[in-house]
Amino acid sequence: MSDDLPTTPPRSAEPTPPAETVAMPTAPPDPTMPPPGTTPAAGSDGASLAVRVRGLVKRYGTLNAVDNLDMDVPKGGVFGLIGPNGAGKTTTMLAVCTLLTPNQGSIDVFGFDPQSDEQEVRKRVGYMPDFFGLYDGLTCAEYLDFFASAYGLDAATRRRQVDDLLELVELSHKRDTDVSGLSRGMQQRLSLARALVHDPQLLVLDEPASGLDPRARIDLREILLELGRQERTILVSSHILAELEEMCDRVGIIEAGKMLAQGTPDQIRTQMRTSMIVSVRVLGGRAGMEQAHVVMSQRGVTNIVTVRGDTLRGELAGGEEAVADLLAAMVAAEVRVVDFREDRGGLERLFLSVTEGIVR
Amino acid sequence: MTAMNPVLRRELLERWRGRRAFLVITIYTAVLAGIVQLLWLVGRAFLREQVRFGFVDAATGPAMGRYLFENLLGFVLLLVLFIAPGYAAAQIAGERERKTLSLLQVTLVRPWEIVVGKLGASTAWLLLLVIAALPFGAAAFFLGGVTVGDLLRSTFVIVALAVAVAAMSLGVSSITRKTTASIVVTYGLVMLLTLGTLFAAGVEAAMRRFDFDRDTRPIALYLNPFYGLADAARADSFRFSGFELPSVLTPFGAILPDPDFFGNDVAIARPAIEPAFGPDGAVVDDFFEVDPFEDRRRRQPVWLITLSLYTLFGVGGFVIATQRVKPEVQPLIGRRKAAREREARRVAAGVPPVGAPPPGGVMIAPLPEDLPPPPPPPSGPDGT
Repeated sequence: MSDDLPTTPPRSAEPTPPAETVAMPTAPPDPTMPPPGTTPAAGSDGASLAVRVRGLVKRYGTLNAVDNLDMDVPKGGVFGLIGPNGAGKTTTMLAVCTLLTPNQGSIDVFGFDPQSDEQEVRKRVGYMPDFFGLYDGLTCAEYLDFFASAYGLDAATRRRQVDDLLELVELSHKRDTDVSGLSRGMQQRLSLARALVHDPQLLVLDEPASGLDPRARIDLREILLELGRQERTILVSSHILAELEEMCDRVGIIEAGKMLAQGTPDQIRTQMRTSMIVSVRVLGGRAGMEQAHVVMSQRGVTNIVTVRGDTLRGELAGGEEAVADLLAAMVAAEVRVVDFREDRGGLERLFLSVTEGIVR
Repeated sequence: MTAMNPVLRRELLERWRGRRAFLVITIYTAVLAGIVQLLWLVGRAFLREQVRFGFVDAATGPAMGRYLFENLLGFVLLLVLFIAPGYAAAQIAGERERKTLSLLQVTLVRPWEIVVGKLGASTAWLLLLVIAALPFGAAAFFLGGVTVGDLLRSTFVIVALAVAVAAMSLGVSSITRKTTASIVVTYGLVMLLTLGTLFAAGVEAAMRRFDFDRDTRPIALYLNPFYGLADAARADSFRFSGFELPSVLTPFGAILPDPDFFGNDVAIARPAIEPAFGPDGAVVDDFFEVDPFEDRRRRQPVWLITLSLYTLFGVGGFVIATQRVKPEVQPLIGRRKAAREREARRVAAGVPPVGAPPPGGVMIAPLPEDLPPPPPPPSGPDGT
């Protein structure tokens, strides 16, 4: 149904960011960029990091929830942790929040170890889990006030803080409503306010948008963007990529307890250049396709799939040189190439290209 | 002024606001009043019968006073023993269930502060119940037979026992995952302490062929809260001027060590009774002439032993609870079920099973649109 009109221009598989041709890369790879994988972010040595995780291992029984994970969250901005369910996002976050003792590895949060200096870390970290802890019988204001008192704030500070936070999360009108009477989106916002109650420098948000309707999600995102503009570091996890794409300065892609890549989305894209996705549209019907397939296979393209009857897509290792060689080889073999491109998509593309693609 | 324990403050807010607390106290005092009234009617009828058979000279007041007092104490202890764990058992398991425990753990509140707050809330609740019952106990003062020492000591024993039981319940609450399980286990424990100890004492007595000297009693008895209370209230001294009006504590009083139970009138100083003030007599002397602690004639302070044991248990419960509200500590009861649920979630999420090789490097996964076209419409029998 999609290939009935041969005159239609080829559609990019990914509608959002336009695919670009390999021959004309817009953003030259950053030469200072370290190789992919376990690379720390720039400035990882100094005080510019909010969170520094090295070789984190957490085992549950025989399951390695987190397996030798490194993570560098620089101060300021929003760091997104992307990964499928069970990848180890929550475990990593819990360890940062002092709620979990790692089996191995070290964590440094603003210069403090969550294991030995847990109170110091707790003062600086606000944690919002992926569930809402409900104390029924308390109003929104009392709920926040309770947690503020649990952080040792005095009554006057608490009152001010509760008012400010309710305003920030747009719940001032629900001030005296019982927390059990809130909608999911409101609960989520109140939960965020709770994490902010002691004015932490680092906010750890575990799947903040899960279960929210689009409107509530946009509201939440606006608040997070607002917070990200302040002098605050936000570590946010999600398996919903679109949600992170719009607000993260940096992302870490995590799967099966390992950090597969981290950095700005552009950096990761560059890192991934060693293995690109090429998409080739050829003329000549079936024969042309077979011919192209043969050439691509010879040049080391793997995982070749046919898309829409006239396009072949596959993975090519070896960077831009290899891509150029492939194109040259195809032209030399007189394959009638009409479109040759490297697929470079948004975060989702990035994510799928980095992970095994367990979630879809 | 130091700031109030936030956990205690929240518990009190949650519990004492609104109509429920008001209703509970109203009903509770109404029930107590009804019980005292009923006891009085029954006791009076009893005493009248005895008076008719000839003890006309003596005042019946002290017998009635002691009877009311002991029954009331027994009833309050029973209530408190069943109310204390019911509330405390839900406290920590409830935090787990509502998923608020980790929210607390991530704050600056320390584990022991959480437990202190919870125990404080329990204690406040118990104190209220006991104090609300005190006026009824004081009614006995109009009748005699009871010293202020008896009342203070008994009240103290009831509150202390209840707080200890609450602390034990917190310990149970902290090792269970579900509130219901916690409540079941806790009530089992209370039954063990009230009925189980009696049974164990019976077994021990039978094994020793009921061969006890004046100072030895089955060990399990000392764990029975009513036994301790009977000693604190001196329930073995229920005979006055020949009147017999047994209370719920009388059987426990009868088996206290070194009893004067079957002797003549108990040689304990009592408020002086003036029979001239009518059939129930009246107390005319200053109550405080009787030193509440001086008049102990028993060498073995049973109630102190009982309280020490309960304090030990209570501290144990407190320590367990403090250890168990620390981050990452999993509840002991309900653990296997939790593991099963985790496993189910893991499978549902499609996470590779334990020991699966880690992803062997970067691999390209096809996008949803890249997937091969769906198979032709089902023709086989298995097509759905």
